[in-house]
Amino acid sequence: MMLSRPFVTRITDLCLRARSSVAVSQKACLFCGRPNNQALDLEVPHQPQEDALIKQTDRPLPVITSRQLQFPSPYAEPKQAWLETLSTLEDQKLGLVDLHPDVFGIYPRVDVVHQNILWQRTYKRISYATTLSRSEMPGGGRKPWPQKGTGRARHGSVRSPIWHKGGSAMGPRGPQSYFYMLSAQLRALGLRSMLSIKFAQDDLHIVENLDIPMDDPQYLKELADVRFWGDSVLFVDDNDTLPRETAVALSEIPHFNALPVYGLNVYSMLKHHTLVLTVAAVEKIEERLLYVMHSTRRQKKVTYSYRTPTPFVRDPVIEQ
Amino acid sequence: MAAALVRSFALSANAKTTFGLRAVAINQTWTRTAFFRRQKDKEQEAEVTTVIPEEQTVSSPLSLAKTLRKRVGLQTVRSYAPPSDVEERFQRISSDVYGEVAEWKDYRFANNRIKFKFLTRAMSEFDHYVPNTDLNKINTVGDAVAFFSAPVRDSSSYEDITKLDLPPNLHIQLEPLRFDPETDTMYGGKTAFPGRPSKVISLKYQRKYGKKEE
Repeated sequence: MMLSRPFVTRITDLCLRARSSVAVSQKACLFCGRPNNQALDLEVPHQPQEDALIKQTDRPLPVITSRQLQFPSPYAEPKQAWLETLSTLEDQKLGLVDLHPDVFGIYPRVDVVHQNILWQRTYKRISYATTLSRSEMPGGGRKPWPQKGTGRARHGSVRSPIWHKGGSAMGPRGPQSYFYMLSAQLRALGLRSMLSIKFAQDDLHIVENLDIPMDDPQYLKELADVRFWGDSVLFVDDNDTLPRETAVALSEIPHFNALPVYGLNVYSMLKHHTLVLTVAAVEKIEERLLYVMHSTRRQKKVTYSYRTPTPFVRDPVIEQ
Repeated sequence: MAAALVRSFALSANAKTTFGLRAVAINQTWTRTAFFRRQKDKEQEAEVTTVIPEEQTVSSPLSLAKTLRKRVGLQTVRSYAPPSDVEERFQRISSDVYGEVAEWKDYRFANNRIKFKFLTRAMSEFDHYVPNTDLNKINTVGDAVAFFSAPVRDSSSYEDITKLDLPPNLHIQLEPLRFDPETDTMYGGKTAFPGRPSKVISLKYQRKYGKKEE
């Protein structure tokens, strides 16, 4: 679907007009449903009672101005962010949200971010490269020629590593795992640094929820275009279910992705240009990262053994 | 897309304030390069603005390095040209939101509610959004006035140069030239990559070079 040239609109208190081809084709304002000729006429006042489609003008703004913070920092003021919405194409601010400075306002540790990204890429890696040693190579059991008298160099086996087609002396030996764990503190610090970076670079947006009015993927693409959000957007909610329209729209856009809070990671935040969090997600993220930051438990020792924790059972009884 | 975002660069009397290009003393810049020497027409001198290289707009390299603010690239921001009566409009908004106050510019927002109402009024009035980082810095009305008085450019100096009156033997190619066998005149319609599609895979460069799938 070709996008029409977005015409310049002034956001007034009278009427919000969709800067998109959708509204033009429907010949009506996307938000209040009034025909376009009326919407263009700014003399006609905008009555809140008329608008069944817009839910936010029914309730008084601001919706939220402050939040209770856990472990409030005595040294830094909370960071403030706008509460936005995905229900309208143009940006509409619903309130102000307080963000914890120890989560969203730290001086970012770029080295820790790098460690996190290295860890994320490496810990799942299993290298299957294998070479055979001289004992595993076929043949090579017999001495090729007598020790003395032939005039040639002395050799014991045709599969010694100095021979062509011989075994590998110090080569890769079978599947190798590169699994290791960064400490919880380091991982939490990486997440905190990344969230602070996103906030400081104006790439972080807080929304009320992930509800969108239509399941057309073009709506989300236009929304990101109009708001100058960037090429790729990561939506984070506190639970792992999405509203139907959002799920359908996001499934058709490969560079717009959604994650629950437990899937939030440094690599994804860096890969996506913009990060969109719901207020519930912010609550959960802050709770968990502050818990790790303020916990005094010792680092859990991770064993890198091949033995499984549960004993091997030859004939397990599977209950029906 | 780029054309829609860049405002028309008409050489009008309003050119000085429209795009936020600082009006430099004309005499200094006209003599700097032969490039501009032909524009020494006295009538035009008052109207035509010069293009300042991007490095000069930063107050100091340290201040740029100290902030975590990322660089503004091409067409990644919404441009803003402050109107001439910013202060008058703010006086009106402040009297509406919290009434008459002596020294209205030094008024510090009493609570978040007032701050929200004030800034949303200002944003709708000027059609310019306050990003989250600036929201934290704006604590007084004076800060808000300073924010809405600062222009925002959405085009690079390179693009601005193309809008000037160029010498006839200089041609600046802004749009990328992509090979199209139907409209090609240079290579006789023969593609350099037969049997392979010339797709642009990167998201960022799809905007610049255009998504073409064969």
